[in-house]
Amino acid sequence: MKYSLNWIKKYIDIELSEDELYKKLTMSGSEVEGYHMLLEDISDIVISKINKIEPHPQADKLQICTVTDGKETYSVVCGATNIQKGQIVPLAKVGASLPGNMKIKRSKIRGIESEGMLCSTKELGLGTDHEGIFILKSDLKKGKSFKDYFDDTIFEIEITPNRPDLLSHYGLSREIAAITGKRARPLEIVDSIVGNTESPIRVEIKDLEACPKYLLLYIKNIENPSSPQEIKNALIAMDTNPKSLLVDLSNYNLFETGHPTHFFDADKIQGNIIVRFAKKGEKTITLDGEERVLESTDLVIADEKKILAIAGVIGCANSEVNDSTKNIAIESAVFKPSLIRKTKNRLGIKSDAAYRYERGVDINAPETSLKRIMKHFREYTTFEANSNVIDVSAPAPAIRDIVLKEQTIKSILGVSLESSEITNILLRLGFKIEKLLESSMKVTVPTFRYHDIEREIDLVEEVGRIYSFERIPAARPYIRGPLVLNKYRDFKDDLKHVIAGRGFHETVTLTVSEDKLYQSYGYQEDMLQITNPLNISQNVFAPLIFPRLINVLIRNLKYRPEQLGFFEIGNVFSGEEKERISILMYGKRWGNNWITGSEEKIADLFDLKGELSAIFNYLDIKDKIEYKNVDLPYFVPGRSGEILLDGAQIGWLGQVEPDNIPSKRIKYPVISAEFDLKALYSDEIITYGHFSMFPEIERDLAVVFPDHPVNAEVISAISSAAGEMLRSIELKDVYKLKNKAFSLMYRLTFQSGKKTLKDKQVDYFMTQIIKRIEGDFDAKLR
Amino acid sequence: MTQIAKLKTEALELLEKASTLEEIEELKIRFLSRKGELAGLFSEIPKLDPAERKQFGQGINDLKILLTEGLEEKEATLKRSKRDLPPVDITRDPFPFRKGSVHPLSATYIEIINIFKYLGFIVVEGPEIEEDFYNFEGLNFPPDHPARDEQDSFFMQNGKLLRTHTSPVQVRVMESQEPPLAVVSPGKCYRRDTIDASHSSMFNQLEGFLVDENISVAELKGTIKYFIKELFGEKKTRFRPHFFPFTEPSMEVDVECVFCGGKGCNVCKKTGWLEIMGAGMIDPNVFIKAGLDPVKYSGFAFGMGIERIAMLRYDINDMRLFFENDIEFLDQFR
Ligand SMILES: [Zn+2]
Repeated sequence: MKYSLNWIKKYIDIELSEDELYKKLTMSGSEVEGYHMLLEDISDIVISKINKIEPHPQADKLQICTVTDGKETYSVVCGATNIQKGQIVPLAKVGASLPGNMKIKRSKIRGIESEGMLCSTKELGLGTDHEGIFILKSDLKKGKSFKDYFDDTIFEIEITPNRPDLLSHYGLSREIAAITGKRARPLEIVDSIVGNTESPIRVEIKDLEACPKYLLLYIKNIENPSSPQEIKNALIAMDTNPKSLLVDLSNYNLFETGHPTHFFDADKIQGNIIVRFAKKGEKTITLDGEERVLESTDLVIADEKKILAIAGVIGCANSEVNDSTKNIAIESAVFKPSLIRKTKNRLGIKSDAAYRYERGVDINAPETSLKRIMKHFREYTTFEANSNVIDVSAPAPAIRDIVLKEQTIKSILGVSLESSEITNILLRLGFKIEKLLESSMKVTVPTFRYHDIEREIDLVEEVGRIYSFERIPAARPYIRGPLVLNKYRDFKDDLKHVIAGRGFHETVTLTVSEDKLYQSYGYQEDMLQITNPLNISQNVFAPLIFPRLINVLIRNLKYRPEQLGFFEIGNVFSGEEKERISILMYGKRWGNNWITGSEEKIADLFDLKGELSAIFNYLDIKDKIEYKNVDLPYFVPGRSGEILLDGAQIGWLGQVEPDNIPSKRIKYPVISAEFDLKALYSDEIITYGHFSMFPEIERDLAVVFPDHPVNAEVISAISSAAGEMLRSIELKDVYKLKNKAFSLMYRLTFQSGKKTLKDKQVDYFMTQIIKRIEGDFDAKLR
Repeated sequence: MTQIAKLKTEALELLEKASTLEEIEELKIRFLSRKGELAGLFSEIPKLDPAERKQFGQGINDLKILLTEGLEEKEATLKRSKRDLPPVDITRDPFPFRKGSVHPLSATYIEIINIFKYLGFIVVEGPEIEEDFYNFEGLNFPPDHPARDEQDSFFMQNGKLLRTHTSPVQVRVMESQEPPLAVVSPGKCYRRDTIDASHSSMFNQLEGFLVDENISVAELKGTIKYFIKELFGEKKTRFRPHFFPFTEPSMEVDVECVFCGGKGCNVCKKTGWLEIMGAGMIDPNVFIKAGLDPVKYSGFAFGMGIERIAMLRYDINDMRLFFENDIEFLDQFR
């Protein structure tokens, strides 16, 4: 929120420099995001006096003014009609700057030289009036800089949601008083409001929980002039355009006290005011000209015929104050914060009133605000009569007392504070203190802090932040556990390095993404939809990872068209949320250089399978992994398969269907694997057995199969027939023969852990294997 | 003696010239064999003056050693060259290989987690698709409160939401385990923010909390200061009061700007400070909601944005770079 330093200084004397004030506020919890001068863009504007006004010889609408800054006189051409001889006005001299990068140059206007410009409020960035020159008070000193009188420092402060009491100049002054040890002057208000006429409007509240307090003040025959410059300046500093006194005072009160009030044109109210919930579907047109359709949870201010305002959010056009308004009714009320918040969020209305009501206003602010406004009326305008304050309220909330123990301060803040120091801090913040026995005290909370000070711990925070966390000594804790380590994260981090080391780049892509992306690669299940997406390209929680890796691939082909590899670890939702890893390989496994000559190897399924084997080997689960030929919708038919761990499917590997990839740059197969990650992790400790000291014997087995067999099935048959001396099987060669026949050559390695194997023994194993293969596959030894 | 010198000159000349193993063999026979020229010189010793014999003998021996070593060395060199392995230029390119990288966000996580592991914290991860209770209610966010505005959530069809911070893990851990607890929890979070240089609908956080008896702001400060020192080196820090619904008191932690050393620059918006995390003492309401006794236990919690820290560490000025995965960007990391 924005604060004007001039305005703050009405309530408190500040001896600190702006920089010191900024630091004090920031270090006590009101973070100053920055401060700047209001008239930053202005220079060389001086206070001057009009000595003479003559007509312009060439133009009826222009005049030539002779003005003086006390030292020199200037001849200035001016088109405004509101100037008179003797007035004090702002003069922009030649060389002056005005907002919007405007520079004043010596120039001829219709043949007459002008040595500067007299300025309107709009030209100075201080208002909307463009027609007339800004006529200043006659006691301003000629020759002084305009800024000396009108500049201000604007502080931008982040007010956290727990501190609605700071959303006003008076509120911030109270806070500055607390942190600087000063006192804020009380607001100037009338002592009491005594009626001399009867209000024709009475008030009825249907639900006192929704509206615990509603005050109404009726004022008869009030003049609505334009506001004095002081009020205008204050509003302009708040980026609010001054309109007329009545509108301006409502805004001024909001920025001054933080309490929203609403001014109705009393003659437009039919009968009495009723505070009630809207009927479902009830419509009204709000001040911004929008038609609003209401729900039965929306609180409204109505008369007997129509809705006058959406409570605490925005008024309606039908009862707005305008130039012809004579009689007014001023609402000063309290509404339940959560109701206001629901309505304003549903209707999408942002208003200064709603911003404060949803955070909570001071239950005592309605009276103060009316008394403050009355004070202003007496000062700035005239009216015929006013009513008594009509007050419909729920019983006042109980006085809030909290017991604060010095021991609690010590155990939470970690520092022992003197009782007097605690008391001093709380008194400065507006709390009342009563000493109790046993180093404790009864603390009474002021009503303006009812929304955030409810418990002892809240007082501890107040003491801590004013004492300053900076003054609390640091201590390294002794951490007693817990002792159950979670090694899964380490496992993942290690895995990332292993895979990166094998030539893949880790990516991080957005999990919230578009359903169409996954459908375009063949995902057919329902996806978990986001019910309030920001845009259509982020409407689901991803069910897969690999389509996003393909997007990353496409994006990077323009830089690296020949070779890319990516992987990502992330969560997917497919029936449940689980963590997956996806790996993508594209282009050259290795390209040609001075060693490989013209040869190069384009990565295919078996290259990625090799990488997976290395990874599974690293994880010590190689023996538990199997692959199964299965056609999956994402891949080229006949070129994909499932990955199984201990017989259970954990993912897949395949060549992505090229027709699904929306890029013309793709010229090599896109190979992808994706599988569940958690399944791979095991915290089993590996125990090493004895290893054999005896020689291995290798035998080749070449077999002709009538049709291409499934390699995994052949290996499984060989293993079960071979007995326990078989150490390894490798597929060495595959030949296509006539008809559909295939010849496969395997290299088998045998070894005993106890002795040197004899050829005869191995011959026996081989006979068993051949018998089994011939029987199972209708195959012949070659 | 001149005989020895003559022989030495001749033999060394021949050794120098020899370029085949055959020639070496011939030289061995000529000079070193039993009937070779050195043996011939030895046989002349008895003919000499007894006074010269010793010196003469010594001279022959020295020459014998010199020739033997020279011939062996030359023989070895010739044998190696006979294997036909020409020398190579080791500075040439290697066999082609694929280069990979670990994402800078992962690298940052690893670095941060290692610091906390050293202090005794363990890692616990939680779900990204979360229940309102864990994301908000259990963390003392009242329903319909403006504190929720800063954490605009994505709501899911299944009634859950995408967690807006990693703090739900606090509630999950406290609900299932008795203190002492010292946990850090890394992970992805989501907010309905339009993507720009400093916002993203998905971002990464690290939550940490310590719950035990007698934990105060002093321990909070000690832990955070240690962490900052390990990560950024000796830098000034400050603990600035703030507000979070789930901590009381709450604060934000600033570190002296790493770019300007605290003098004020564009990155720190001229303040000289960079905000790097939120922290505070766990609110008693959070303990109560998780079923722990707030009288017996106290604790602190903190949370930091990983992108923010990675941006500071690697001097990256746009958050979008992390999620665009341009190879030229990724390639700069290992
Ligand atoms: Zn800086």
